[in-house]
Amino acid sequence: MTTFVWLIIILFLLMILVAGKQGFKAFIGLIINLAAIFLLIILINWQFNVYIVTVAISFIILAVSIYLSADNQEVTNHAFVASLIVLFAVVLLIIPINYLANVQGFSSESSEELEGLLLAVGLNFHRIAFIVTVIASLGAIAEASMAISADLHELIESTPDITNANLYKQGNIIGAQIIGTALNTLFFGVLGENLTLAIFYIRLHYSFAQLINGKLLVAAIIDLFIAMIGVLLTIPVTTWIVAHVHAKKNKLQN
Amino acid sequence: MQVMSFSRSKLLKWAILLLAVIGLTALTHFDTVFYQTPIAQVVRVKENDSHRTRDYFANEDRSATQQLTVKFLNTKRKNQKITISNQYVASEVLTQKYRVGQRLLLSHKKWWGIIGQKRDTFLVFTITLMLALTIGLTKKISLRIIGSLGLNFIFFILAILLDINFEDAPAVFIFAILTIVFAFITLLLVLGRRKQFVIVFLSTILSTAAGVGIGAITIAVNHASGIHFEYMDFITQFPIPLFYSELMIGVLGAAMDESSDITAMMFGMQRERADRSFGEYFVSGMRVGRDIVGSLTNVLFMVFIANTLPMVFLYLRNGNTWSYTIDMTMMLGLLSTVISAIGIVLTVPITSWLSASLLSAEKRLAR
Repeated sequence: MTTFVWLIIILFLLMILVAGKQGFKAFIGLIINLAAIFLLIILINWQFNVYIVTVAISFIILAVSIYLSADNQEVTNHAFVASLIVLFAVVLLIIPINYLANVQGFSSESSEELEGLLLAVGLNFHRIAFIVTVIASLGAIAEASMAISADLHELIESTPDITNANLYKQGNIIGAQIIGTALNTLFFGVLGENLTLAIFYIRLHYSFAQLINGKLLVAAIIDLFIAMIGVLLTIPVTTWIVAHVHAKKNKLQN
Repeated sequence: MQVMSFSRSKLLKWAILLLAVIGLTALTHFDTVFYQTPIAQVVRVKENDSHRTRDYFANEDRSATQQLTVKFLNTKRKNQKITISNQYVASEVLTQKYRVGQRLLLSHKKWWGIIGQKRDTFLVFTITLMLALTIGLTKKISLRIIGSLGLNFIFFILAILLDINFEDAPAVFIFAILTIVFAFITLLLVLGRRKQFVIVFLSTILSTAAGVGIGAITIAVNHASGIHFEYMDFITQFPIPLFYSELMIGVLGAAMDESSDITAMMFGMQRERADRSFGEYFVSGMRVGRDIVGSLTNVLFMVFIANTLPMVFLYLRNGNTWSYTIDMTMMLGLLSTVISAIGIVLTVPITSWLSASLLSAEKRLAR
């Protein structure tokens, strides 16, 4: 435990030193999100409805990630609404894929980790797989919608008389640039996370057929690509919301 | 006010992309001929011997045996039917309940057994859907994005092959080189060969090294107390170097993301007015950077923590205490998050300092 505590202290000090008040908020945000994850675990363990609990906890996590990362009310509101819409789309996508692909739980390759554990635990692991996919995508969705919303608002501020068509066009250009790096953040995060799994699979000399159908590998790839789809969807959704509100405001002024 | 209208060509583009996703996904329905592994489709399911179970920790579940009638789709047994029995537990932690219509990969030793479900359809669907969205939404740069993802994946596999085949070469060294290659390819493709590329590349490498370095030193000073590297999943070689390798790769994307955001803004400042001091650049860089530290850390946190959840539930359901469960299943994920966060935070001053030095030096040279 002590190593972990030291690292947390170092992180806290660095965040304050580098980012001041913003760093303090980021640190608090991490702790609240961790608490939200624990709440999720407790509620699911008590057999509450998985879909309701997951969506509710996702709501909290998105709100914390977005509202603690900036002060501009408009920027955060638009990013939050956009991320909720994207979350909804992602959930609708995950449910059928999860039902059909059956990548829940563990596979025979995990036998070492499962040693000594009873497996008839009375908790539907199909639904746990759903939770994993949703949670893994949340951070990236919040980050992307926040970045696009902030950049678009900056654009509106510097050119208040920008036409809506132009705003859409700029939104797509800005969005594409942001998404390029955001996809990489996810890609390398997941790649790093699965390094040992990849080594394991390659060592086993599995056939190509076994690789592309194997539970664990397919699960990892589906999780990554669904999160990426979520990130991509934030471009049109966020742009649409910001432009929509901007158009309404212009109408009121005229 | 100009109304957003879907032009014909736009509609056509999306229709083609959608068709491509559906077409490629549908192709996997007919790919059984390419498989050497016998594949069979479940045509009938009869369930017998279903009974409630109750374990030592009062977990109630249901265990059952299925008689699956399956029809071969390939090999010389094509169209033949056989019956296979499958045992499953309703919670499906390890086993799976099969349904009519599902396709199974089979193995044949003394008798027929199930390797697992044929899942390539869903793999192809998610991948093609993501690629189609990338092409549709990011247009010109989509090829660069897809190209960098593809190339990076190839180098990832190559590095693993190196690691496996040259046991003498230290894993950390191989994957450190891989991290540098990753950064080079990605930034070259996404940023192009501009001045910004040099700065982002350098600060990404420096920040990743600094973050992981601080993590490693802290762990070493504390003699890794409270950390159990041996609990890492799928360990096939000495785990500690792999932990640091995972960290380097994991933190890299976030560091690049942060660094390119900061430099993009600073180069924008220079285009606007080149006559600025080091301090002016540095302060602005820090200001942009600090806004995104939190959200980038969150991206990695969610990825790291989500993966640990199935094991967390399994441990809790097995009557383990919270502290033991966290220690066994979540500790390494949390540790990775914290060390990654340190790397992400350090990216801000490192990038700001590097860019500010370069940009203000340019000004002096120009005089």
